Amino acid sequence: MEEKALVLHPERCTGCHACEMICSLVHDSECNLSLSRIGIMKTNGGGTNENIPVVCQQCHDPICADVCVMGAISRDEETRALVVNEDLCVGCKTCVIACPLGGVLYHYIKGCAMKCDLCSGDSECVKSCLYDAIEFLAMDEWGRKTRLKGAQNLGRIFEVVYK
Amino acid sequence: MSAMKVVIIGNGIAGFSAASTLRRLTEQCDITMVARETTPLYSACVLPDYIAGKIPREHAFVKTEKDYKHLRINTLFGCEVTAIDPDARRVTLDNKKQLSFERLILATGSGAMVFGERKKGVFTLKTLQDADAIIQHKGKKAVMIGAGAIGIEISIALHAQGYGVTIVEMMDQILPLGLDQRGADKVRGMLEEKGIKVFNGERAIQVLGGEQVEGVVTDKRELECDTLIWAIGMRPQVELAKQAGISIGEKGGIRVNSHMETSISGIYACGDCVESNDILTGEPYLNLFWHNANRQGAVAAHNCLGGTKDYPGSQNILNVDVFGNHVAGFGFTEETLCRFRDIPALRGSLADLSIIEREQNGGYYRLVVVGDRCMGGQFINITRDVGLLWSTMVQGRSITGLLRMFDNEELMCRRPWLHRVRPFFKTN
Repeated sequence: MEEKALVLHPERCTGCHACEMICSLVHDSECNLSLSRIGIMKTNGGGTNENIPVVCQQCHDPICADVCVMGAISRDEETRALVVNEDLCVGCKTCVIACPLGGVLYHYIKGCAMKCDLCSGDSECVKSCLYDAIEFLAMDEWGRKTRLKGAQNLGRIFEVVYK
Repeated sequence: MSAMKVVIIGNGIAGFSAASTLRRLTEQCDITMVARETTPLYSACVLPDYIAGKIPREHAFVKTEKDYKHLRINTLFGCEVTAIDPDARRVTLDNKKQLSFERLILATGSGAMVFGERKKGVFTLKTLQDADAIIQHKGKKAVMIGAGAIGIEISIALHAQGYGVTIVEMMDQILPLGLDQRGADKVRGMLEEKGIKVFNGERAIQVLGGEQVEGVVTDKRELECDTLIWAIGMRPQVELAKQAGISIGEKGGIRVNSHMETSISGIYACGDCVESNDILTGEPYLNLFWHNANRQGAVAAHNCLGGTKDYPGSQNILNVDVFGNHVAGFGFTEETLCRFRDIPALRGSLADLSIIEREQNGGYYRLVVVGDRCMGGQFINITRDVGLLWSTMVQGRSITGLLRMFDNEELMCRRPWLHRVRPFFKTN
């Protein structure tokens, strides 16, 4: 299967929580924000309200898998998603504190780690979003888009932060 | 081309990580793993859970024998290497057999420190056999010497098994490497609330009893017990390397360069037996943790095959569940920074040390900041967003830079996850 990734567009997000609802519904059969693998963060900085979707980015060199003392996080050969083996996971939360994005969460009912598994390659959150704030794109296309964006941003960041 | 012969000594996570990385990189390689232990890879970190009865014994295993077959690793388990001959490129086993190698990877791990006699009822916890022995012992009253993460975890596990537990710690606080006084006192309160006694600032002097342990004498009191557990720390196992003339660092671990190569070319070392540079200070330090071993093993394997992969440095992490309270931490505490003030990276000065500390909604955190860099964090009941801070710290981001970034909405929109770091730096 072609390698694909979730691409988030914070500027389009309205904070309606539809993705969170559908995520917990398909994974745990209930609409429960605290069981959603994707999270919408609401911030109120600089007077403007921002809604920011946060979800696992399926890193190439994943720290969550490295810190797991049970080797419970591994890459699915089919979807290329990093998935948690719930039978192996002992619920120590090391991966939760290690992830630099907050992409791994703790399933308080099952007592184990939970994270985005890309819905076996058919992401429900993407379908549920009415504003195209989440896209599921092939890695090459995604790479081009983000690289361009990243280069532009980096320039600005250096201007602000390091001058 | 004939296949390269690689011998790996040790079947911990470092050894296994090296072996599996080698196999992933090439099919043209003969991997032989020699290990003292007879079982496939298990996780020493979950042994307290096993003692507590939370998980069955088989759950401690991370790999099965099938995994080794699948990766075509020749395993010589229950076998010990008695000598390494670096010139002849040969190792000698305890059954007098010899193995030749082109590359050797040492992953001999660490061993628990013990003082005094090993009477019946005296234990350490490092291997699965240790855990089995503790479970079979079935005592009533335990004294734990040492209140590091392992000491605390075993105490809680034994408490769950109905033991009366007393912790004796030499330092003035528990978790001396992970928390500062205030956080440690909170954790101490959680332990005492459940009936675990904690004595800080006490040194164990003598173990009492004949064949069976009957008690322990500290410099302040005498404690009766039928189970005594030493949890005073781990020490790299380097005797084999020493014999072979491989240089040992000042901290007591095998000295390696950033390619995980030892002083003898072609011999690599990884895992608990090495001293690696701390990612924050760049100084050699013993960071004996699972994730470091895992990464070091992979780096050693890459370089073994002629790659040039650098090991960025080791990171420490504290992660303990204390009766449902999540205690986490990373980097240095204020206390340890003051102790290691001779680290060149700090330039001998701790005058610009500042603390950001807050308690809110049942959670507590404390960040240790030196100049413009975050050097450590301690968290109780704050789980999410800790990783964001950890990565910021490891990357050595300047805090004033971060604060300036927080003020720029446009930039923050592009780096949305940083929004979640912001509350930690909020001024009162």
